Amino acid sequence: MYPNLRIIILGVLTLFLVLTFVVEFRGEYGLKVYFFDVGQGDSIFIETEEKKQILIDGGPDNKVVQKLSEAMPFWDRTIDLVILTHPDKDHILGLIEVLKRYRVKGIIETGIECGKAECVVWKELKEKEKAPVIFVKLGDSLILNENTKILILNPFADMAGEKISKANNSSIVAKLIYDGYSILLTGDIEKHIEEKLVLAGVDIDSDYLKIPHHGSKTSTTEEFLEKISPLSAFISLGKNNSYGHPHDEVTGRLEKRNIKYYRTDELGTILLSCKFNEPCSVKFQIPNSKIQITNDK
Amino acid sequence: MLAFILGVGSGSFFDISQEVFLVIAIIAVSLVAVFYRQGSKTLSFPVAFSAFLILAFSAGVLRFDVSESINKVLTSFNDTNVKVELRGYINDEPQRLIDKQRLTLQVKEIRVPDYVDPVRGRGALRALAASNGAVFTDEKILTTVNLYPEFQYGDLISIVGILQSPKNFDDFDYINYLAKDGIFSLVYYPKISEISKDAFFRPKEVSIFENLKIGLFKNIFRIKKSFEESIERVIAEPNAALINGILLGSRENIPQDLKEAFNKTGTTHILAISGYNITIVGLYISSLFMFFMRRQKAFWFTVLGIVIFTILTGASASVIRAAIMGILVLLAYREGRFHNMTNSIVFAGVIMIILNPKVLRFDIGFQLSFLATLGLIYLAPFLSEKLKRVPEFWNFRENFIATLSAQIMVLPVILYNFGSFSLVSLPANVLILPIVPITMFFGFLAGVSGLIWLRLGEAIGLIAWLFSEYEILIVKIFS
Repeated sequence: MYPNLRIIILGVLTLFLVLTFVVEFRGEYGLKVYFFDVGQGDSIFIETEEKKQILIDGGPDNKVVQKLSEAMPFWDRTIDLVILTHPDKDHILGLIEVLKRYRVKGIIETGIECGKAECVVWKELKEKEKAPVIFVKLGDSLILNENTKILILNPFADMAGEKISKANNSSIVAKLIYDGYSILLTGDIEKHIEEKLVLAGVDIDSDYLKIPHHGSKTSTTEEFLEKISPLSAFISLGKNNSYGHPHDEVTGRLEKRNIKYYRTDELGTILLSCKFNEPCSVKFQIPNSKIQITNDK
Repeated sequence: MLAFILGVGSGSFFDISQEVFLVIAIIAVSLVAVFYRQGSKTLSFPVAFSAFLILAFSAGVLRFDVSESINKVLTSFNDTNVKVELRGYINDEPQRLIDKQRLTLQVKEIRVPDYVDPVRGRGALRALAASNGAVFTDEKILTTVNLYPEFQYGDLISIVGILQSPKNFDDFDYINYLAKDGIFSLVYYPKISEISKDAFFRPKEVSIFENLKIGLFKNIFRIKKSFEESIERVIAEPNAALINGILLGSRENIPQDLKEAFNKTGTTHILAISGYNITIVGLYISSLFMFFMRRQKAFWFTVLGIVIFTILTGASASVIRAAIMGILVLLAYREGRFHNMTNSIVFAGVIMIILNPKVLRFDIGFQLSFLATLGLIYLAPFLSEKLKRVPEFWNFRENFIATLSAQIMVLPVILYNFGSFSLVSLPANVLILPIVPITMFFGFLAGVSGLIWLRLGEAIGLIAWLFSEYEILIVKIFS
């Protein structure tokens, strides 16, 4: 029994040693936005400078759980906020497993009707988790701290309980603002909502853009891009997907404007990291290689 | 008994006709009978013994043939592109993978919604035309469905889809892998719905015995599931998946690259329930009960504990073998009698083969665990004589010798099945094995306390995380 006891004591000591080290090294300040490589779908993870964690969508399967554990410290079993842009499979599925495994402190969604199998499970789990669920619309905002806030730009009106055959255009559009930077997260909105946002004069001007609907040709119109005028863009999609995303027209429009774009199908998980009073940088690690690339702006 | 195993073996490799062996068996029996009447003088021991061996051998061949010849209606629908409806119950724990579920359906009823040319469907469809639209059977099928809705063991379901025959992958004999579980057809993404008992043409199609079994296993699998989910809540991935693998042998959630790393370093066996895991579980349980009661009583509770553990892990061949072996060892210990290991191994093997004769040829895990155990019993003492100079610290030498002897014994099977053998498996195993029991202990504690109080589970989970992280690190370094 004695050697066992010694191993245990040794183990516990090492544990605390490792813990202190990791905490020390994680003391980086600034905002981190991960575009997880979850295949054909969206999953975006935000960590604020105060280590508040926000997960937007969960991708089409349970891969997001692995990705989360790579982005989060191993002792952290809590996510502060989960946002579901709209209840389509490629956005909601992974969130169900996240709700099963993590303590979630708050959930934000549009509240539209959904009777699909995954929505039924999602509903059951939300009730079990007892986290407050908030339905949002244009004009709502989340103040995370004095430097960081999220503005909700779509849907235009309260949609809770509404029945919609195609959920894409009900997607939550959110603008994340940190220090002087802004990132526009667009869910799966299509031309119709893009035009509406432009015409309504909503302030969508941003430094970074998550391309709507995985680069589908029904989104990312010229006017929309013109109004946002981003420095660079991110496309979340799966390799060799059956939809032919991203469409050449969309990438063509980006190239025409000299907007650099990053694709999760080519680069794996992409990290946009912004520090206070410093330029943002884009980092990614190409899958199956050890090369890490940093792209400073 | 060895003759019986040999019989099943030859029955599975060569297609020997039943009649021949019936004739041989009858001759053997009558020979014994005739000579026996003439008095014990003529019936010398060797003659009687060899007659008995022949008898056992033919029994073995027959057993294999009997298990082969269960009627297969479903296969006649394979690859016909005919949409069929299958009704039955889920007969195994659903496998939840990263993007899909796999269900084993015990099919009780086959219906063909659209009328189909009977010639194309061969015999089964003709029989169908004769009856009122349903064929009754009792076969298994494997179906792949979406992640949600979730299904549980014992659910009554109906699926509508097209049947396919399984195909082998590049280096994996999928057809035989499924065959050993009696599965010969697959259905991908069918229309699936839950049904009630009354939906069956013959509501009594699921027998009372089956219902009892379903009731029991349903509860056991529910406990297992909530334990696994507790582990997943309190420990980060991929460590949670690894701990579930070490504790319960459930491997489906371990990421592919980590699985490959385990394969490359020859350490996958820690993720399977082997005699090693059972021994640890048995020791934990018995030391717990010895605290409260006398050894005699503690023994029976330990046996009960091992049986429950076996069922919890899904009762795969290797677990049953390990459980039988573990109980035999415990029994011998209790009786205080010197334990004859050879007999108990052969005994365990024969029981396994009687229960499912296909494991002998098709279940690599079965072959590996028997060979490894043989290695531990016969080779290890021999090697420890020869290798006295290996330094001894923290059970280093014991693990070294155990690993080496097990590896030598399983080498032929591994070479035959996988075509490669890992040189790093020895150091990797020696470094990992001493940590496995501690990981199991803290993993189990974290899972149980996570069910009671989440925060406590998370705290203990950190310790379990650390030990499992060490194992992952070692495996990754060596792969």
